[in-house]
Amino acid sequence: MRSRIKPVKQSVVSHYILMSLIAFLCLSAQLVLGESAQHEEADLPITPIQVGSPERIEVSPSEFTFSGPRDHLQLVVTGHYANGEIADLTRAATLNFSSQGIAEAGERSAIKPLANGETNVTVSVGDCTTSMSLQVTNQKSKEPVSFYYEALPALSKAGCAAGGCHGAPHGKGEFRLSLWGFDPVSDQHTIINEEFGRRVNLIEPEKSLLLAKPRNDVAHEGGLRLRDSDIEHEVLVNWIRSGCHVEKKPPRCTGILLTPGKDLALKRPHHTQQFRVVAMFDDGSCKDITHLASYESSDEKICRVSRHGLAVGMGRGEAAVIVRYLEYIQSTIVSFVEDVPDLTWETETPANYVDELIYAKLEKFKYLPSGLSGDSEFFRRIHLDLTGLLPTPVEVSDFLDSSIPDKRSKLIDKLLETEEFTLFWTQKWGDVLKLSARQMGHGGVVKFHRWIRDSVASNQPYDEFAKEILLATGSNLIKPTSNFYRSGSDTSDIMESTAQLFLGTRIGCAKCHNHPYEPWTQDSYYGLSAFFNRIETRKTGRKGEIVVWMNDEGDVRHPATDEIVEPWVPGSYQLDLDPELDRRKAFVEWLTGKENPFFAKVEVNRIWAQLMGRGIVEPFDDLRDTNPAANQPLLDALTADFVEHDFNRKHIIRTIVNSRTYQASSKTNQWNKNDYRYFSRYYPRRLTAEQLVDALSDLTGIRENFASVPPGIRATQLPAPDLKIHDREKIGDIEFLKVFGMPERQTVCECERGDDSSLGQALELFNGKTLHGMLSDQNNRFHLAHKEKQTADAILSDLYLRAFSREPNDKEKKIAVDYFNSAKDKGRALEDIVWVAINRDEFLFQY
Amino acid sequence: MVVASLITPLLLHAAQPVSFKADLAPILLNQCQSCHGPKKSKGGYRVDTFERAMEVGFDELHYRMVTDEEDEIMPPDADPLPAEQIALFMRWQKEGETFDGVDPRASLAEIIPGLKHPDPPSQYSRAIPVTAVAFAHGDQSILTSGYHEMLVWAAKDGQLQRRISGLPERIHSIDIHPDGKQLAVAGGSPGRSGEVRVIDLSDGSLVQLLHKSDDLCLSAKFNHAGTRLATCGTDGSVRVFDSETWQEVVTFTNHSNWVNDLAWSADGNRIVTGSKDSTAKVFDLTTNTRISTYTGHDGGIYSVIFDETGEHVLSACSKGKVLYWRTESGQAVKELANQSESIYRIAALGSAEHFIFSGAMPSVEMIDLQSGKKGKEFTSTCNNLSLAVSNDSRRILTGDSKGGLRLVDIESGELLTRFTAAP
Repeated sequence: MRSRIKPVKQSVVSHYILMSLIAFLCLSAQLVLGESAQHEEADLPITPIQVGSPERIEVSPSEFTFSGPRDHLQLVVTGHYANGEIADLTRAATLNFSSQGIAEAGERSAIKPLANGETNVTVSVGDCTTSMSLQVTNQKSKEPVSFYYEALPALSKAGCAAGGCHGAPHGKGEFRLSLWGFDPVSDQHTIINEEFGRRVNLIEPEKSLLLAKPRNDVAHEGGLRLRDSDIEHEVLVNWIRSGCHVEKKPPRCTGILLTPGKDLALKRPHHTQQFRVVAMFDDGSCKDITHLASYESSDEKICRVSRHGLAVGMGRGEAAVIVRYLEYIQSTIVSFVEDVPDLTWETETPANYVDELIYAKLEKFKYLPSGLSGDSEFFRRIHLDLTGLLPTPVEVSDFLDSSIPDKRSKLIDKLLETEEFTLFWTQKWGDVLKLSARQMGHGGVVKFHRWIRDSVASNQPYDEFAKEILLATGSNLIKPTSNFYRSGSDTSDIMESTAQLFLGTRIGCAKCHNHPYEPWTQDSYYGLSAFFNRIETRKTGRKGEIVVWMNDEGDVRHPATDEIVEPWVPGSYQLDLDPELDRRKAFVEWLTGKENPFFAKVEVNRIWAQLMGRGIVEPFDDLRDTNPAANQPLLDALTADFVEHDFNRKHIIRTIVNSRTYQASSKTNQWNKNDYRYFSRYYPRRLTAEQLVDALSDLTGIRENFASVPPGIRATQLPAPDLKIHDREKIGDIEFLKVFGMPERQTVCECERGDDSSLGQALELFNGKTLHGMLSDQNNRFHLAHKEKQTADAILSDLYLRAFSREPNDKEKKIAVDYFNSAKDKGRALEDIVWVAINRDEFLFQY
Repeated sequence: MVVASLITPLLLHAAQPVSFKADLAPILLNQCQSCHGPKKSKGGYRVDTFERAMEVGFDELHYRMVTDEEDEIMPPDADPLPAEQIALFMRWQKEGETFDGVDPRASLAEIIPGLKHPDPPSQYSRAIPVTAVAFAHGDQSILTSGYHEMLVWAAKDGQLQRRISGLPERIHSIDIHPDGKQLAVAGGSPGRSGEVRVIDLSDGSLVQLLHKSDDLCLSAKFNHAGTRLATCGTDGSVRVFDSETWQEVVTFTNHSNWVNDLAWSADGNRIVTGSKDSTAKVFDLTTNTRISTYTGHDGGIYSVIFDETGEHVLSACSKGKVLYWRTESGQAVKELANQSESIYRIAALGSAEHFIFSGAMPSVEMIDLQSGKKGKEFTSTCNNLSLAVSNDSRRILTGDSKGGLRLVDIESGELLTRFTAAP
């Protein structure tokens, strides 16, 4: 086995690198996702279709007209069974033509035209038949390949125009295409004329650099992206051969339609679905463009879609099949279910609607939920989730010994009223509201933090919380929420932050081009901005003070047309805009209205993610059709509940943590070990940086002190990461926090909090300064206990109760005590024992 | 495919030993050099010379071509090398791993033997962009770039007189030696190879093959005395050759991107180069040093020319500007033109005072140097890629991206001849 040392980067990042990383993550995450190469069917696990005995079969479309020599038609054949199941039988169908020479069938039940005329097509699968009729016209047409509707989509389908390749803002290798072809005029110039036309060879089209590079015949950093057998290659060769013809006034494409268009469920052995895509034009015509569309799946673990539009199930679950053509994007959700014969379905008794809805979905996909967590695990977990801190040994013992029947729900009620809960959940808001001294000044941070704290403590309804922030006016020293408007550098920033926080949408992409995954266009982006562009901020003479106020004029102009853009909200609601009024008021009224489809949903999803480690929609600030929820009914129910209870956040938290779903064990069973999405168990996750520092402090008894806050404030309660430059020798080590992913609060993106493991983290836990300091400090808990002549047993018991909320078992006791007894330097032996405990997953993770 | 055309004949004569320079160098160049070359050297490994390619040893090279390890197979993002190509490497090793080039430090592009260019098609299915034009035979003939050939047309009526083949796929520059006997052609096959060919004008025979590169050569110009030939191209280098011995006199690699054009001063002591890196540089050939760099352009420079005294340079760029600056210092003097479209060519109109330029705009524009104002304008078609002034300075010739040629009288502005430069 050849060894290979791969350098691992330290996760300590400088400001600049972090900014580009964040920008890349947030703005390009979706773009990068979209550039996975189209799947070849040879690479997908397609088992032969088992036809069985369908009652009848259906073919779509039932009639079709070919209107040119290059037209394609993809049939979709569906089998209907007596038990109500359906299956896609497209690949198992045989086609017979009543008139010869008019059209021919290719692979995959795709049909090509041959000559003008009419024919009937009999479709048969097994004993079932049905038929459809074909008309073929215009086969002698010399119309050249369409640049807009054939050549450009071919480049998108081949992946050339993807965001990680030539569709990137500066392209690659000095070749820049518009992202997914949204700018045909620019692309035309780039491909045909740029650099003296070197990219196309009009006399020997196959030799064109445009094709030779993706074929990897000529050195191409992007590797092999095109084969000469691909349809994209054929289209582009023909287009170049036509002299790179660009049509003058083409009809405009108005949208695409998918077949199947409604969500569907497939049950094994049926695990494939052929899709068909039709493009519609404003002259009333339509074309089957199944062969030219680009296909992706929202979740490659569950479903992959081939370049020919065949969705293939990879595992149990559901995924969105996403189809893209030009600027249009459509998706259909496909569920893949399976019978699991040895499984007896048994669950805990649902505690509330959360469990009912979760179990219903789990049963559909046969992910048997894990049983309830033990008291130890639950106790530790709920403390970490609600207060951010580990419980004390006395608290643990009391809880474990208690025999009160509803002790868990009583515990929850109690924790929700603690100061620790308030401060910990205030910090979560601080993360996404970008509370940082760099943005808002020390005074701004402190005041804003205090305001949020009061809001959380009083369980202020979420709609009022949002209103107070968004409508803030005046001095930030008097009105703390005015500081929100300092957290962005300009109107765009504020609007994008607002959209991501409160609408759960990453609209930022649409600033420069149409959003790659959503129907947001540049018009949407600037329309939304129109609510925010009259906000002005000014510094005053006082140190650290700014004033926020609303101008009563000023408009947003579209960067391309320079026309004034009217304020717009998603859903194209017509809002009544009194020109005298603060436009923000109109926006906020729409935002916090009970019918608003985003506002409540985003918050319940956010709370769910904060408790369960993963949103029902994930990432949880990225709600879109092409990113389906893991459990839509649950999301809807939580949303309705939230609205009904007047946006009461504690109510939602309480509902979630009382459910059996939240309280489930984190252990897998043989049925659910592949589930990472449907919440069949509690998914373990590493303690956050702040939780880790506090846990280490509590364990060792050595408190970290942080600058500019009262002593006793914990890491999980810090108002901001940068209140003062920290003196590393004297006070709490911020570097440790950063290594473990504490966010810098440059953006509203939750993705700022790093949860990757890194070499830096491993080193910190091995013998980092912070840890070493705590372990070797002679005044730490263990050294003191040892000096007071406590027994090894007692010390060990205390350690385990603190670290793991349980007593050590016999084996653990024996190992530790033997080690202690045989050691010469008892102090060091204790340090070793504690070090081992800290480096266990049982300490580093919550589960 | 370049590699195939070289490999196939050799495979038929399996008795012949494998030649590193003819058989293996093209594979390394085409399949490996984009990630393991001077621009990008992944893993710190380069293949662009024999010495570098062999640094890791044959075993490692071979291992990477055949391994099953997904993260070690090369090339990483494509199909593995075809079995025949790997077999060539193996046979070469068995036969002693001999290097049959002259210099193990020369670049692969340089050692691959001069490619024989395919014959041009007898008729063109499409007119191709005219990227180079020149007057010849006392302004009686017009030379245009063709597809693997140069075409000779009668100036008075646009009749095709002669076709000179054996030339690179695309020709970006045609320059006739002052004695009228030889000419230098710069060009190549985009992304694949480049060269400068000096040929005898009377019979089209090859005199010398120079400046071999892995992508196009863009310009080759004789000095006014005819003693030197300067060449430049996409590899960013500028080379000067003695036109008797064809020895390389000096090479400059100061530019960081393609060098699109160069020009000689009248006394032959200086050349100025214009590059895609948005700078122009002046080199003194008596000392072989760079004497100035002009950084006033904010786009790639397509064309450069000295004024009559050689004390100033006019440079034209992709942002539509013609800028006038001092040779010695690189200091700007004034802006002579500010178009909204790219300018591709600038040429002197005989007298010291007038210059013309053409580019993506549908006209050829004249500049009056004294007044700095625009002079006459000659309507033309869009996208003129090439421009030439007749030796008697009375006519101008433009070639466009659709294969169109226009010969215009300067005095009257009359269109004298017009044709499509495609057989």
